[in-house]
Amino acid sequence: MNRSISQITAIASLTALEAIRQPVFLLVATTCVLGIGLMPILITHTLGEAQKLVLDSALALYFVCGLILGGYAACSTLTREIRQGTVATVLSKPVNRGLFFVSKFLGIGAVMLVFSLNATLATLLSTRTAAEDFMMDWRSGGPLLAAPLLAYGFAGLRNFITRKPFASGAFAAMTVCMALAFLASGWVDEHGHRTAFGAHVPWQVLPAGALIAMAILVLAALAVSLASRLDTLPNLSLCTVVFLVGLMSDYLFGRHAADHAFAALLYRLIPNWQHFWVVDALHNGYPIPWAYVTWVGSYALLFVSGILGLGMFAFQKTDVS
Amino acid sequence: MVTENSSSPEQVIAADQLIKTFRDFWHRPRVQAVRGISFEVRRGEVFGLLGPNGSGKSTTLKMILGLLHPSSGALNVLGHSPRDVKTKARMGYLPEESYIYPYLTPKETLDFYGRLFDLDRSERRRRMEELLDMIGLSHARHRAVGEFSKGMARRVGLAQALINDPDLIVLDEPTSGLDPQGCRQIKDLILTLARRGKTVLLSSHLLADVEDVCDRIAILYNGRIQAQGAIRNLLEQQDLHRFTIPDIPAPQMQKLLVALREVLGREPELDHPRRNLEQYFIDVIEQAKQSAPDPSGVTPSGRVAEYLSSETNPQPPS
Repeated sequence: MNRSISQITAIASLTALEAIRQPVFLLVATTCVLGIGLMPILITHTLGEAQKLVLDSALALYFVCGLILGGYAACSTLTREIRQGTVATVLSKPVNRGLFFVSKFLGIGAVMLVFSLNATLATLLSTRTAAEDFMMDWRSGGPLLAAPLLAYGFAGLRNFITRKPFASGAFAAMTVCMALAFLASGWVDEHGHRTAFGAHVPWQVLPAGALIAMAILVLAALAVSLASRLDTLPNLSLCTVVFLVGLMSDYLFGRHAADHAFAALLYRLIPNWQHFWVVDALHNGYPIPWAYVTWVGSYALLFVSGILGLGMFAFQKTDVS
Repeated sequence: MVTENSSSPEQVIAADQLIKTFRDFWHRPRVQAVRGISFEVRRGEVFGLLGPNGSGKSTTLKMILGLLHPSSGALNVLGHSPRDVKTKARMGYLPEESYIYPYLTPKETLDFYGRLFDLDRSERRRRMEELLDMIGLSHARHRAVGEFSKGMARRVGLAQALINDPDLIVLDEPTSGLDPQGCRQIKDLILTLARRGKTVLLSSHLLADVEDVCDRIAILYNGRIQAQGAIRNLLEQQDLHRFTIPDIPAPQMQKLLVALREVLGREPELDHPRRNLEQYFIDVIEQAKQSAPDPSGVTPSGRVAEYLSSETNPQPPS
């Protein structure tokens, strides 16, 4: 039991480390955070409702970047490992295949949750920056834009002095800087006066961010499972198809589910991404209850377990050469 | 097929009529890489699998490691199925290519593999230091393995194969990509491990290396064993003898030749023994190192890791 826990920790942390040391990962994560941070500036010259536009665009960018990173991380770890042979070295050790497979997902899942934290914090700060039409709250926008720059500066200096990897250092530092930026701006209002913590933070964004994180985890589980049998291109293509079909699930299958057993089956088998996308409700002023988030969390957990179960079964029979 | 057998009760690997057929996406047979091979490897011996490219060596090794499933036949490794994690806990594997994580440093790589064997932190650290010293990469411990030359990455691969002090070591082309000093070091290490009762199974194209270290060999071609047995028995020419004598004055040499001619009834062959090129190369480099050391490349200590060379009783196979 102790050995299994030690192995899960070792493989999951290695997977996470390998993922965040890839420059592409840092690039997409930074693009996402900076993109969200710049949205109030890009959307400032509109005829009102800037906050809605910023929120909508920020969550959409977060979702798309998360899907790209989840799929990429799954392919770059498992598919590349099978192709390049590192998986053979690991499986020649006393490591159960199922445990290896689940640990891979846990590593990717952990990284995706850290990415989601960054993106959610960026969305919170960015939405606050655009809270009032035709003006910007630089008490939140400033720290948000400064955080990635500070992180890059810190990682560059660390790389110069200690020769430790830049990409993973920058990603970790960005997470710390984003948290500090959020904490620092939480104590002040738009004029720089001290207020109660979080008085100006649009907290309704938090459940929306959590739901998107869950959707990303479901898609990452699908990409990891397919990675045991398919190469990168067919894997990402199939993930895209599942994503698109899942987005239209209500229209394609939902309305026929009562009459046709096959439509009902597909409606249940394909993840319905609309459950994870609550921006319309936010726009209409409906709060997202945490009970709903919990329900969607159970829905996501069910899909993650099922998809990983199938992937694990496929991986048990995969020849590793 | 040429065979040579001697019975031994301590079988570490027993393969009986192994067949491996690779199949395509539709499960149709694509290629039969191994076609009914049988052999055994005994405890404490160095066994070599030889053969040209595509002869089935690596496929056989991967079946022994439990990475590939035999299509038919029986395979027993250390008394268990090769897929059993208990078996794998006592094995070390150096793959043909340096299959290691490019973004990790040698230190992180060894720590990772040590954790897979549930070695505690202090033991991991001790073995890591000894192995890095042995492979000559202590100075490069913080560099990513992806930046290394093939030979340096190969050394990291070897270190990870030995992190658990294995009873059975499987080495696929162990000297590939290494300089002559690295080759010599690996061969010395293999002999040290064998002296400690460890079993070594290796495959190689470099016949001279195999000849230097192996007790027995099997030669594969087209997925079948064409010859196997003790290397001495297979290579020794029993009908010929060789004398080696120190340099003697010409008149005495003449006398000796006359005597030999008389006994043999024909002219004996006479030449000067040659030094081995590998040994000559190592001597030249050692001299150069002493006059101008180069700290940037591989700087092996020349010592085998203490936990690998200690004379404690190795575990017998269960």
